[in-house]
Amino acid sequence: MSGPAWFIGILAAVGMIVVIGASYVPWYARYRAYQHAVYLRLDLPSRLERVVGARLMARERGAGIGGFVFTVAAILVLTLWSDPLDDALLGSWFVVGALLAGAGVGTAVAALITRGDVAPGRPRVARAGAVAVRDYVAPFERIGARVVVVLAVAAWIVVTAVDVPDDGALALGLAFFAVAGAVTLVLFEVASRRIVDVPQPAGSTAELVWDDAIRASALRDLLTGPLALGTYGLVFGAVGLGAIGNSAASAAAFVGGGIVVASLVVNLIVGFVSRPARYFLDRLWADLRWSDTADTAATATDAA
Amino acid sequence: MLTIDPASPVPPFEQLRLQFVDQVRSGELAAGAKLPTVRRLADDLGLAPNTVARCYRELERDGFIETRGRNGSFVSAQGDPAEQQAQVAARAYADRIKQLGLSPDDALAWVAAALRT
Repeated sequence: MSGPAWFIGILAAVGMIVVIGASYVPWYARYRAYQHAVYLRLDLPSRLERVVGARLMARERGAGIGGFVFTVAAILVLTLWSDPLDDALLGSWFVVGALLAGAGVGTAVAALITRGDVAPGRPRVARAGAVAVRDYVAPFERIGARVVVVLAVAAWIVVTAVDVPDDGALALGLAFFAVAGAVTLVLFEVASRRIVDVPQPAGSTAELVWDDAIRASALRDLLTGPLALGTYGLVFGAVGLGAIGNSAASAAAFVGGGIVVASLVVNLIVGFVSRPARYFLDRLWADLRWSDTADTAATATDAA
Repeated sequence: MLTIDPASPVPPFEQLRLQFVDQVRSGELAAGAKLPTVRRLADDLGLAPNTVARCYRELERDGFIETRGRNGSFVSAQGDPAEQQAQVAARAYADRIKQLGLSPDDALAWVAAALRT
């Protein structure tokens, strides 16, 4: 196992331990809850502060545990099976890929097992219409992840079909990221539907809005894996196509690389302008008023 | 939004049915809108699945909703055939506006302008 891979591996494992540790700190939970509220421009009633903080921490803890376990597993794989993965760059990316996949699995598990609760005897509210994943994740993120992963798998198939006159590390890296991207995309498709099917017990509009906010955030976190791994796969694919040596493949590599860079820039701009984190509010809560989520509303529901 | 108050003298089944009827009549639940599954709504509201199932059955009997096999329950178009068609068209327009990410105020203004011409 190469030095950079060790460094990245240890850094990732320590980072995940810090994330897990921080998830048990009360003031950090409160800080994250209000940070979320500011980012979403959504009022957080003080009586929900503890509940929202605890649920956000449960999700971060899940991501931390998943990321840690997968990172340690990746380090073990690199240590025991170092020959083909001795390449410094490939080993480091392998660790990062494992970290992203693990964080995704942990996030999904945490989102599936944690839910809100309403004390017996209290009024309950629910949405009258059915919801789906498309109500929580913006189309450009959802479809973008699929496109990136499909392109990475296509590049893998092309590079495998044509004999690449290069070392095995390139083919191995491309294969790893294409397969890992596809696996995490399937994980997202399956887990996201299950997460949306989880009941949302809520005692007020504010509780339901915040349950949606946490759910949307978890679903968007789940998309990070396929998006990042698919993009890595595309980079390896572009390099692989370039290594084939004939002019058509080199041109495809050049165009592919350009598309990757252009897509990232467009994604950044669209993300900045449309604020995809707030997408669920526009879709499910278009008529939400400040008074629906303010402290006064929560108190009124309690009184009722 | 549906609210069930366990302290209310009105039985939960009736509270649920009345709110659905109100929302369908007011257009808050538009024709073609999909309803949550029985189990999901029962879990959300802390009711027995049979209570929600009975409510859905009565709403279907009264023509407010229709069940499309395994696809679930949907709000039926209300009123005479012309109004039903208009409701379906309105639903399609509303869905398209949401897809395009446009504001409801702009959408309503365009409809008003189109009706005037």
